Amino acid sequence: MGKFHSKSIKLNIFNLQISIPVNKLLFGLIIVMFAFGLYLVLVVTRVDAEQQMAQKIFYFHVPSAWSMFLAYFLVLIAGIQYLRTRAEKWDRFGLASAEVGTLFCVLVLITGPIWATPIWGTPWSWEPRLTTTLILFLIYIGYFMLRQYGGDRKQIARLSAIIGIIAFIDVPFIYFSINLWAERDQVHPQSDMGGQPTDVLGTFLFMLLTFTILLSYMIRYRMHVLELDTKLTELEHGI
Amino acid sequence: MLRVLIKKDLLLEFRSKEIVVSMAAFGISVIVLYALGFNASSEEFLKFSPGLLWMMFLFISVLGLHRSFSIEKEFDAFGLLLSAPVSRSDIFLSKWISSFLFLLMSQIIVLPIFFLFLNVSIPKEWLLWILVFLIADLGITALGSLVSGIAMRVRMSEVILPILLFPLVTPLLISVVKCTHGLFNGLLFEEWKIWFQIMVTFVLVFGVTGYLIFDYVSEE
Amino acid sequence: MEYKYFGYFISVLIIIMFSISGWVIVMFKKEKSILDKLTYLKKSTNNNWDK
Repeated sequence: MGKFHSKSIKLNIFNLQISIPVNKLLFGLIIVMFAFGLYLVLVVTRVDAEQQMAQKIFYFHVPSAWSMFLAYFLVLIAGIQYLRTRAEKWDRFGLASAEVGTLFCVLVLITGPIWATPIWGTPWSWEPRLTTTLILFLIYIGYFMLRQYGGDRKQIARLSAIIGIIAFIDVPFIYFSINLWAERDQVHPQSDMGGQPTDVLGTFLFMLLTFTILLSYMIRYRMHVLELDTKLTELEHGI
Repeated sequence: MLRVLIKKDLLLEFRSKEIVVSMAAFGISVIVLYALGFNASSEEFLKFSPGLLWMMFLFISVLGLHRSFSIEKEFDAFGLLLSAPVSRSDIFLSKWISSFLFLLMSQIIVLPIFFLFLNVSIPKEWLLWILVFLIADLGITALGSLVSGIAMRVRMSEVILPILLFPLVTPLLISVVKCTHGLFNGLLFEEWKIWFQIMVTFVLVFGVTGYLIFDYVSEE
Repeated sequence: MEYKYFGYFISVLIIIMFSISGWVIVMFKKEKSILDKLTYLKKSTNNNWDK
């Protein structure tokens, strides 16, 4: 696998040449961070008097939502860059971000209702942020269908870049209108993290960092596989 | 140039009448299905009618949008249009305006039937009512023209168009339903002003986006 | 652990860990199969594609 990994960190310790691929390094880092994060969540943080263990779902739910939004934001950036430069790597970046973002989107849509079941008594109450996530998920189903049926590679790249841009422009409208529409309903747990005690805030920020690194690892890995895939198709079709 | 393009669309439609007629026919059948399917009294309908009304308009606008773009696909008219010395943004504007006009025409046919069949009383503030309609139609067709410009380029465009358009258009649908609800129930404009403002912003944002981005959509 | 709602927490944990590691495993398999094909093609055609 080594020769296909283009990027690696080269260390020189006591005249010993060590070269570690960035992806492997990230992978190891994520496992260590996740284990430590789990320790923080289970042992260090206090247990909420009312919600008890259900409150701790929040350490996974919110970072997933953050990763999703970040990934979809990267789809926007990739779309703009692709339309400007027409470099295929931006298309791969956009597709990888869209796929990984949708995975986190599904995780948000699963973990949210699991939390809401005991706390609100119902899995789905059209809570604004979850509803926005659901609509984003539906938009991205369209995005992947477009990629499936899009015709030649250049056209797929161009059209899906445009959809990525439109989707992100639409997000504030969706969130604002649904928020206003669902005013009467349950309020989402407050996002005022400044007032939280150190153990809660620290663990939360640590999980946020872990998920961000996880996201970057997944996007990088997916891009790498997509690049290999392109190479293979080109070779098979003799381009 | 823009006027020529719009005139072309309208002339084609004036001769064949296929888009507006099919939109209106589809709208009327949906209303009949509503009436038969719900079997509700007019008070009950009053509660749901804003949502039903705009869902029906969304369905028929998808029908019209798809038709108005697939006409261009026949005989490769779109390829010719692109090779003509016309700005691509003008193509977007012309498609936007003509599909807006088609939607408006079919609404003029369908709307009286909606009020008649579902026994919903016609709102009194007709000036505001018309304004809400114009803005909402502009919003649906702005985003709709942009998305169908994209969907037209791919296989299964008739499936891709609603799958992409419906989730994207939700904020507009919510807003116009709220506005219509306010009008049907005789609420003050102040009470649903915010929804009207969302609609106007939506039209502006997606009108400008479509104008700027259509260049990339219509590339060969 | 005598806390309430432990099952909800555990199910979230399991879902997150399984789906992410599942994704990584799928990617790994995909990568491996592409690499195998690439190596095979490289051997059989002797192209100078890997420049």
